[in-house]
Amino acid sequence: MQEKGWRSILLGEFVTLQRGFDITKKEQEAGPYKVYSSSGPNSTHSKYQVKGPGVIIGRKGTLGTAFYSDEDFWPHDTTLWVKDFHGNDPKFAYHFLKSMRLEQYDCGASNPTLNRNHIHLIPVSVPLVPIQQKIATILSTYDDLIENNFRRIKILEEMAQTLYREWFVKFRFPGHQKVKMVNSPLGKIPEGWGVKNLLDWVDVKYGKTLPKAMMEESAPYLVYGAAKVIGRYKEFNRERPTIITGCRGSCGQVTITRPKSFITNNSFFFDFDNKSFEYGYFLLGNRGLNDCIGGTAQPQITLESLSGIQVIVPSSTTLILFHELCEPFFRQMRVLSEKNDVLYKTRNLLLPKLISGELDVSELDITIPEANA
Amino acid sequence: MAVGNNNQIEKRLWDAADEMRANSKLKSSEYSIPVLGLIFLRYADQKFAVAQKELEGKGTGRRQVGKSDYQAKGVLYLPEAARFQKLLQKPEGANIGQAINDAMRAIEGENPDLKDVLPKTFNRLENSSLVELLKIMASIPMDIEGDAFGKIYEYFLGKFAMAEGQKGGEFFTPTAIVKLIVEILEPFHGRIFDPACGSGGMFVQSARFVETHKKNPSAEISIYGQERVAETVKLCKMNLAVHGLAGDIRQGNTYYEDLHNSPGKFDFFLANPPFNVDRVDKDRLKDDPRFPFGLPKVDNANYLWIQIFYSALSKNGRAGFVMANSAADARASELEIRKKLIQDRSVDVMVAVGPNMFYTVTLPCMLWFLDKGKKGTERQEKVLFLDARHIYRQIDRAHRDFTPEQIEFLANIVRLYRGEKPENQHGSAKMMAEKFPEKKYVDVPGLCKVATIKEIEAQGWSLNPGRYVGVAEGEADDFDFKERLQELNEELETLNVEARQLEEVISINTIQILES
Repeated sequence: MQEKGWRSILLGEFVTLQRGFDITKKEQEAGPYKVYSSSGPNSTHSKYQVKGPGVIIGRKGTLGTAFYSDEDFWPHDTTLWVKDFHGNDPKFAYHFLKSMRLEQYDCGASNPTLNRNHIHLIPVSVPLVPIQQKIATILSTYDDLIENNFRRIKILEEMAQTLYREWFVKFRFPGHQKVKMVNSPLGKIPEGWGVKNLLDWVDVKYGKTLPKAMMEESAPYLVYGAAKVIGRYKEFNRERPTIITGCRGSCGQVTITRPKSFITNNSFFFDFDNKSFEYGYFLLGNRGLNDCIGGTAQPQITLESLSGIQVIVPSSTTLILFHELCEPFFRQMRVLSEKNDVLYKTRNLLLPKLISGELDVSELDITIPEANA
Repeated sequence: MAVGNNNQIEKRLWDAADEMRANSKLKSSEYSIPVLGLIFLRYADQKFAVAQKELEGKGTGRRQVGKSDYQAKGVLYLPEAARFQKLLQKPEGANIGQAINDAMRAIEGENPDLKDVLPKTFNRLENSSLVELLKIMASIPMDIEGDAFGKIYEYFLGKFAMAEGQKGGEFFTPTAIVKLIVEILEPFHGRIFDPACGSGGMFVQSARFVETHKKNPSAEISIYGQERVAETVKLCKMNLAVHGLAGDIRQGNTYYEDLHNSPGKFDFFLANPPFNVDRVDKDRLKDDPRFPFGLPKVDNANYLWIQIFYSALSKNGRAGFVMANSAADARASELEIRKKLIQDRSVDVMVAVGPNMFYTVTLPCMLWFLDKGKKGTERQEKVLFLDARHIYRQIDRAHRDFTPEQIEFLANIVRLYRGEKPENQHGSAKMMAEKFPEKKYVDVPGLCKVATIKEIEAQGWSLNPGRYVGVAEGEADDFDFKERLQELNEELETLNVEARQLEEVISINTIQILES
C-alpha cells in the first residue's frame, strides 16, 4: 500500500548517478580534499571534482557501501557519485542508497561491479522532501553520536597512552626528580623499579576451546577468538575485562575484552591484577609481541616463546597512582563502546521501517539539533 | 568572584539564598530569575531612598517633587506599592507573591524602558520562601557604596550559571575574561555592540572601564545588543538597569536576523558567541552583507561569527571576542576566510587562554582582536600573539580566573605593542619590570611575539599563538606532553558537549516515535 506523501519512481528519477574520476595513488598529492574509493575516504588530494554535499557509493570491488560528504571531494573511478539529487535531501539519499543492499545488483564477471544504467532502473518508493528530512535527521543523529563516541574512545585511549609514555618511557613520573636512575638489563631505570620475566610477573593462560557450532547469535556473551569477537555464547569464562592477544592465526594484537566474555583457546589472556591492568595493557601494546611469533603452517605464539620476555615493573606507588588516574578513562571507553552497541541496534531497527515508510513520521515534530545563537 | 577578599556580602547572601532553595522544591532555573528580580528591586529602592532624602524639602508650594525630579537624577521612580519596606511590612498571611508581582508591574508602569522585563512569577514561590528572601535582601547594608549592587547581581548571575550547568553558560561569560577583553579593547567612546550579549556582562565591564578612566559611561558609550533567548534578554535589561545603564537590547537569532542593521556601524564589538555551532541553515545567509569573505563550507558557525564581528565594525572599529581554539588553525574553506581577514590587515592581537576559566566547560579558548584602524599605522604588517595559558589564579580544583594584576599585565603588553603607556592601577608594575625592563615591547619566549604577515603566511595562516610564541626556558621538556594532553582534552570536551546535545535529541525523538 502506498503511504500518504510517498511516490513510486525509478532510482534514476530519484538520483542521477555518475561514474567517478580516475586518479592513481601516484598522481595524488596530500591536500584538503578527500578521495573516496569504493571502500571509503582513504586518501586526500589537493584538488576536488565534486562540490559538497555529496553522496558516493561503491561501484567496483566493494559494493553496497555509501558515504556522505559535506565538503568538496574527489570520487574515485571505483565509485558512483550522485550528480543530480533532483531536489531530494542529500542526507536522505545517503541513508536510502546505503539501505538498498546494492551489492545484490553485481554484474561483474570476476571483480564485483555495479552498472549505473542497470540500477537507475530499479523501482523505488520515496517520500516527499519534508518527510525525507525528518527521516534523515532521525538516522543521522544516531550516526553522529556513534561517530562521536568512537572518536571519544580513541581520544581517551590516546590521553592515557600519552600519560603512559610520559611516565614509563620518558620516566617523567611524579617525583622523578628525586629518584636516581640505575642500571638494569633493560637500560637505565628509576631506583626502586625492577625488571622481571613477564611470565613470573603475570599469569598467562590459554582460553577454552569452543566449537563454532555451539555459538548462538542471540546469546548474551561475546566470544573472543584471536583477539577478535567471533560470536556469542550462553556462558562466559572471564568475569572482568581482560587483556588478551591472539595466539593462533592473527597474532600479537593486544585487546581488552568486555566484562563477562568467553575467551577461546585462540587467545592468551594476561591475568594482571587491578593495579597493573592499565600499565600492562600499554606495556604489551607498545612493546608488541611480534618477535614471539613462530609457527610453520600458521603464525602462532606459544607460552614458551613468551618466556624470554623481560619487562620493567615500576614501583608499586607509581603503579597505583597510574591505575587510579587511568581507570576512569578505561571505564568511560567501555561505557561508550557499549553505548555504541545499543545505538547500532536501535538505528538498524529503525532504518528499514523509516526508509520503507512503514513507520510514519510525517506527523511527528522531530527535533533537529538546533543551531543556537 | 569573591576570593577571600572583602566582598563577603555577596557570598553571605548567596549562601542564604541557596540554602533556601535547597529546602524548597524549586530547580535552580526556576529560582534564579525571581531572585535576581528581588536584587533589582532592592537596588532600585536603595537608589530611590537616597534620592528621596536629597529631594526632601526641595518642593515648593506650587511645585511638588515628582517623577521627573527622580529621573533627572538617573533614578528609577518607585511608586508606593513598589517600596521595599512596604513589602517587608506586609502582615503574616498576606499574599506576598501577588504583592511583589504588583510591585514589579507598578515599576514597569512608571518606567516604560522596563516594560515586560521584570519577572512577575513570584506567586509560584511559597509565601514563606518569599518572606525569607525579602529578609535576606533587606540584610544588604544600606550604606554600601558604588557599584556594590551590580557586583551582587553579577555574583548571583555567575553562581546561577554554575548551578544550572551547561545551559547556564548561555548567559554568562566569566568576569575575568570579559575584563581582559575590555582592557585590551579600550572602549573609551562610541557605539558598542554585542550580538550574543547574554546577560550583558560585556556592556557592564565596558562601562566600568570608562568609569575607572574617570569618565561618565552614559555620556561616552551607547550600548546595542542582541540575544536569542527571551528570558536572557530580560536578565540583560535588568543587569543594565542595576548598573544604571541604558541600552538597545533586542531579541533575535543573530544568524538569521540582524536587528541593528550592523554592517559598518559600530566602534567597538565585544562578544562571547557559542562555539562550534552546527546546522546553521546557510541557504538563508546567501547575499547577507555580513559575510563579505564568503560562507564556510563546513558545518560550523565559528567563521560566521567572526565575519559578523568583522563586518559590523566602523572604519576605525575594534572587535574583541572569545573563540574556540580550533578556529585559529581551521583548514579548507575556513582557512580561506581567515587568510582574507589577515590580508585585510584587520587582525591585531591574538590571546591564548588556558582551560578551566569557564564555569561549565573546562575548554581553553582564544581571544581574537580585530582593528580596522591599524591600516596605515606601524602595526599594519604585524600581529601580536600572546600566550596567557600559563597565567591564571586557581580558585578551586576546577576553576581558574585572572587577578586584576594579571589582567593589567596582559593588557599592558598590548599597550606597549600599540605604543601606549602601561597602566598601574592594579599593581602590575612588578611583573612588567621583570619582563619588560626597558619599558618597551620585546618578544618574550613563552609569553608574547609580534609576527609579520609574511611569518603568518609561512605558518599556513595559523593564528594560534602557540605556534609563534614558543616556550620559556626550562619548560621545553614539559611542553610536548602538556601541549599534547591539552589538545586531546580540548577535543574531548568539544565532543562531550556535542554528545550531550545528540543524546538529548535522540531521547526526545524516540519518545515521539514510541508515542505515535
